[in-house]
Amino acid sequence: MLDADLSFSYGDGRSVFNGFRFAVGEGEKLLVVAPPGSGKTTLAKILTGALPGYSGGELKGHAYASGIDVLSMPAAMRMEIIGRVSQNTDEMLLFSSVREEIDFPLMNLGLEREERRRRIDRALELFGLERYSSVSTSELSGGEKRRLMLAIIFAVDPRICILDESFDELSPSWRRRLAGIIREHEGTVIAFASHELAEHAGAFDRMVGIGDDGFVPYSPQSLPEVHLRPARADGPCLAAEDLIIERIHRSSGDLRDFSLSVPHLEARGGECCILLGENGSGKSTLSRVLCGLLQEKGGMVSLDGRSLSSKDRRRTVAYLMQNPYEELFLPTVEDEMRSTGASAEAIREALSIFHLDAGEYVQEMSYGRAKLLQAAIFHLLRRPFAIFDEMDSALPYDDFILAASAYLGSGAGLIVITHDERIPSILPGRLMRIEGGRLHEC
Amino acid sequence: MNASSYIHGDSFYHRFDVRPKLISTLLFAAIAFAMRSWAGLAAAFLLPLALLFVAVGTREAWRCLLRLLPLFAILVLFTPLQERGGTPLFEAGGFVIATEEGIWTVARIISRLGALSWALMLLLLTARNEEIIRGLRAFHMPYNAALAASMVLRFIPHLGLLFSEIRDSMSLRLDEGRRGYPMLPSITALTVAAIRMIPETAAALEERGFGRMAKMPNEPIPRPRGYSLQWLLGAIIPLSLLIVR
Repeated sequence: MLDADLSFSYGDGRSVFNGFRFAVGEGEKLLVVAPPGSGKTTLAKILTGALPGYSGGELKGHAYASGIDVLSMPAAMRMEIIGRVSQNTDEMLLFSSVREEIDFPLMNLGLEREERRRRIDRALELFGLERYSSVSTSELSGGEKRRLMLAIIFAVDPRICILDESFDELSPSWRRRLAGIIREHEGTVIAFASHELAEHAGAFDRMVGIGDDGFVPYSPQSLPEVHLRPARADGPCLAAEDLIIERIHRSSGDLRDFSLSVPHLEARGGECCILLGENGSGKSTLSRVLCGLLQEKGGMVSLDGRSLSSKDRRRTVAYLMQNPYEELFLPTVEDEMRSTGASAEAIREALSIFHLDAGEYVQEMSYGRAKLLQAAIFHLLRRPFAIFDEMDSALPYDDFILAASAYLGSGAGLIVITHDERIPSILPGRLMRIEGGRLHEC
Repeated sequence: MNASSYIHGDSFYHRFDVRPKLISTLLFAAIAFAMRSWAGLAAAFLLPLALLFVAVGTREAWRCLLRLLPLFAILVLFTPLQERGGTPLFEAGGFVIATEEGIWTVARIISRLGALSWALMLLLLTARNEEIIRGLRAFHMPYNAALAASMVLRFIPHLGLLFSEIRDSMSLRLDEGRRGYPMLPSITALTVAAIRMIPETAAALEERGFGRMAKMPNEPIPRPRGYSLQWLLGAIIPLSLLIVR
């Protein structure tokens, strides 16, 4: 079905693939598990035409899908054959409502209005987005955006679907649902992941890794073990009491405004707390309140019993956002790290801990490596508390544990937001869950 | 580029069909450049702003106003200093601070910029992107041009959103005792992000099939109740400014 042999190097001469060959069968469900920077996103972009596209680079070779070389076709003409769900959802969302976002590619397929409506309704239902139909895409949570991207590709229904880290940011129930959808889907599915998830089991026919000249057999990763020091009883204590948080959906009148109540939340320096909850339950919104980027409607956030203003919170709680690119702006890794005001020695140490290269250009980093840089920056800032907002997505377990251990080892209290059900078993910590608009300890 | 300015509401302007809204926007923008008196400048500035308050409420309209106030302040502070020819109004130690002509110039710029901004915000806050595209197409604009126009209209609000994200992110990195935001890195970061967005947006459009169809079908917009009255009001409200021109 898909038979490719390609070589690609970026405009700056950096070669990513050199005679990379692979084949995927008709209707096959393939899972490619490989670490950040191994070329997963680059491969996905090459196949759909986003690369070289407007970004430049040299592409040689072919990718035959049912006998047609898709690489020789303009990107717009490939959409019936091959489509992708981008890892970075924000770069793909272009319109002002969920329905419009799904409708755009269907219009470009030349479908009649009735057929478009039928496909949109079906896709919205398939990914539980019916109530968000008229909502602005900028008001969706990370997981909801991911579901929207999935809804788009399944509405278009190309013969080959490429899902680039599409299980990330989805709650466990949605991951299971996506696995079921993949299993039942008639077309070919190629999914990319940085690590194997429990929900992958049974959804795929074949699992492979990325080698120098093609896919290689996948060797399962063993889950790393972490030995945490117990939290110091005299360590700083971050607490939230009777927090009421509201978020307004400005773009839709038929959607109830979001509300979250936090009767009591406490985290100590050196302690790890794991926060679970469905997509859109308010985990990121709570994080933004704790780090002072959003104002609560009621209640108090305190440090050792002293109430914290928004400004104080920003200097107390580091917030590592879901999308690392939202926090990275400077040209190189070194520029980003120097912007923290840390000493040259501290920067060298952080580069070594997080396996980063000072001269690396931020815009050329993979999503996963960008997350490591994000972790390194806040590690240098030495805030007493940190929130990892789905830091584990797009990172192998080893890298995630490396980052978590660096923070905990320096005595910082860590709140880990995750959808990965394996994380509580490899990173022991107090479990908290947001359910029904309320946070409670498990 | 997923910033949406649309705010759900049921004000009279929300209920307007997008076609008279587009014409009204155009008229406000054009008439703002035709004002020749102090009263005219004030009216061109205030009328669309008043409509904005009525359409989206005090909180949202005030937020829009706040975004432009720093720019107005810069104009007030610096334009008279550059336009120092003419009748002196304020002097300090023989140095002409502002002239009548300088004040007139700054008032004219602020009036035009304000009128244009309020009129565009009025459109973007009360009409969805797809409505704007359909409206433009109703005026026989080709689909590609209508899509490009709607994206350009959203590009500035999107940059605003991006800038607030950058500022939020920068604020998380501020050291103890430091105040304010590092302005230059923020603007550099915004510029880089804006430039990077161009190939990303183009690639995203193409991956979704933009350019496949030689001609996109034009779906007619049904006429709402009171359509003629909406046209009349959409034209009369901005044209009324000509009375105080």
